Amino acid sequence: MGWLRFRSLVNWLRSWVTEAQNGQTEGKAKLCQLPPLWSVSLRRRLADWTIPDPYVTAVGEQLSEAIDNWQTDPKASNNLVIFSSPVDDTDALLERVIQSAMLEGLEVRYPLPWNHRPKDVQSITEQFQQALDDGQDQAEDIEVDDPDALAQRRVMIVVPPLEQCFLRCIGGWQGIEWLRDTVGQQPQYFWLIRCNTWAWEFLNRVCQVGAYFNCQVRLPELDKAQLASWLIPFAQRLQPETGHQAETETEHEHGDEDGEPDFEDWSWGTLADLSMGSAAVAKALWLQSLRLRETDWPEKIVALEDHWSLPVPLQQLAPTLPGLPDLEAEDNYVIHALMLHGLMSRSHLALSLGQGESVVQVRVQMLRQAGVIQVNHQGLSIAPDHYPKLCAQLSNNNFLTGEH
Amino acid sequence: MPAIPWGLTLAQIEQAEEASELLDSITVLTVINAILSLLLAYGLMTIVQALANWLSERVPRRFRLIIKQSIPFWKGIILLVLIAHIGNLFLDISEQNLLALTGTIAVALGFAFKDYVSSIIAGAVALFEAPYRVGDRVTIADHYGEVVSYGLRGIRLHTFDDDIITVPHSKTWSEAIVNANSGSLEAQVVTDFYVDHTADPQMITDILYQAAYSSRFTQLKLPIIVVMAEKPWGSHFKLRAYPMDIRNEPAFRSDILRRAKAALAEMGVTYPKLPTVLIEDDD
Repeated sequence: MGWLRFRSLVNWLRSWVTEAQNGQTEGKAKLCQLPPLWSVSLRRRLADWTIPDPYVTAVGEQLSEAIDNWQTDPKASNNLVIFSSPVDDTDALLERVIQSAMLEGLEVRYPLPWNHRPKDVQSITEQFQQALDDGQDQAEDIEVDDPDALAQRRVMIVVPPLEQCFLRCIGGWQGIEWLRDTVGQQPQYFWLIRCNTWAWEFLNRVCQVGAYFNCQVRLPELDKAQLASWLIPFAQRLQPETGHQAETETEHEHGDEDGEPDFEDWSWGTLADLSMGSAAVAKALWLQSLRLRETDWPEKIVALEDHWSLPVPLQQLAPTLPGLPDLEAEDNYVIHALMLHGLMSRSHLALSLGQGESVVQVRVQMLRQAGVIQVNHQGLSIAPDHYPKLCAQLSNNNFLTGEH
Repeated sequence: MPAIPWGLTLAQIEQAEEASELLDSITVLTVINAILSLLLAYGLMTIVQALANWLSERVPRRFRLIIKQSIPFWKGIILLVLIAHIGNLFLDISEQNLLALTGTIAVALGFAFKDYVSSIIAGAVALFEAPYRVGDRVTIADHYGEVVSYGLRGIRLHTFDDDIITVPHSKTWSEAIVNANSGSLEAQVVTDFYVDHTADPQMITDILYQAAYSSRFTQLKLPIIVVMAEKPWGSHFKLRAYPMDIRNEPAFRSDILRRAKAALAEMGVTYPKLPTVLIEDDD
């Protein structure tokens, strides 16, 4: 917790200084924001951009090791929990990792057909029971110490993210308790579980999941080189087809004597620090740092759907963390609930807060206008660019957080 | 013609001389200086109080109590400087004068300002012993509330009913002071539940634990405990939990009650029926 506060203070100072510098650079070089239409389009493309290799490597290696142990040692753990932050999307990562597991001859089963919380949260236990009914019958026939049983260990079960399997209300985490008890009773299956760190902290307090699911891997923090090698190809694809690379004002100012820019090292390092090494936060901050020269502003703004490259070159300012609006005490509870549950509907948010939907809606509207939370057709979630500051905000207000 | 009491007259003359030695020459300038100093000190204390209150309500919770608790310290410093300055203006403190001065003060305090001075001394002692600090939730003589001000003579409590109660520091000499949080943000809140003897205690306990775990106000870093006691008319459950901020105590208790009562009603739990004798006693 102390490290989080120190880090947040350093990042706040850094953002403050960088913002002042950016203001000067913007004025001098006459830069302007991207047209909103382009921003939306770039955000979509970034969402579909490849997963950072360090994520795939870290999770893949851990999964492979855990499966090997499970298949060779009758007493080895039969589960792996993948931790991520509330703003990280792990669906694509899981797909990549599972593909490699399937190559090793494992059968992969998805007992529940959803990745987002069903409307009736109390029905999750029943859904699990129905989906895994066969497994329970088989489990009774299998001797744990029988060496032949190891040969039958060929099935991996992938459950929806844990934060989507519960709601903070009486009876709201029965599904988690059922899963917790069942995983241990069915060693013939390997269970792949995802959970955001905030939900894990909560569940660990209310139903001690940590004592049952003890094989864990956390998405690694991306450093500056990893971020650069991940996002520079994306930036290069955006440049006009004449082929020149992303130019920057800072590039001109801070270039080496031999003319080679050293901007990339500095900028990606700042991005890595500010984003806490999270790919989702880094994407959002990087997108915010993009600018156009005023002289390059297109006369007619057209959608970018069909072409990857932009008609004009992009400029890039040093990344900064956006400032938080003045938050009221009630806002903190809304933000904390969204951290805990990830993507969620307004009615579920009201249930988790124990307040009327109309009361919650007012706070949601305020936070949405301030850009702290985002809304899409699936529900409400935290805006990734605000995540680092919100962590510090909630920690300073005595909330149980998922970052230490 | 009555005889002149020579002895008494000489004594009076000696006292007048001592007084003139004790008091430096009082001029208009020194009086103005003293008045301005008093006004300045009063202004500074008001500013410190207002600034600390304003700031403490705008910073994250973690810093609120630290800022509030610093108010008596700053006020004390201002007061000490003021006393030293005014003493320096008016008094010529020599060894002999000091004896005369303390004697005079002792007599004055003994008769006129005994209670006032007792409170001031108790306030100074309370600064070190800290039975209460600004921001704490305390119970003093049936009054429960948050300490919102720490003055020279007493403290002010802000109650749940939005009343301000002034309690002199001298109460610390004789009354028991119950401090709920003692400088920290959290304090244990006890919520009582009463159910009929026929209710399943395990089920009730589970529901109460879940009610506390699921409240948005609950500090999950601290323990939650449910205890049970049997009464002639039913079972008495006590849920002990901590809100993240003691200021949320009423909202926290209401939230837990609302959640638990809804779940208990769904499970068909019945509440105890008080015997007629008890109801009549209450009336």
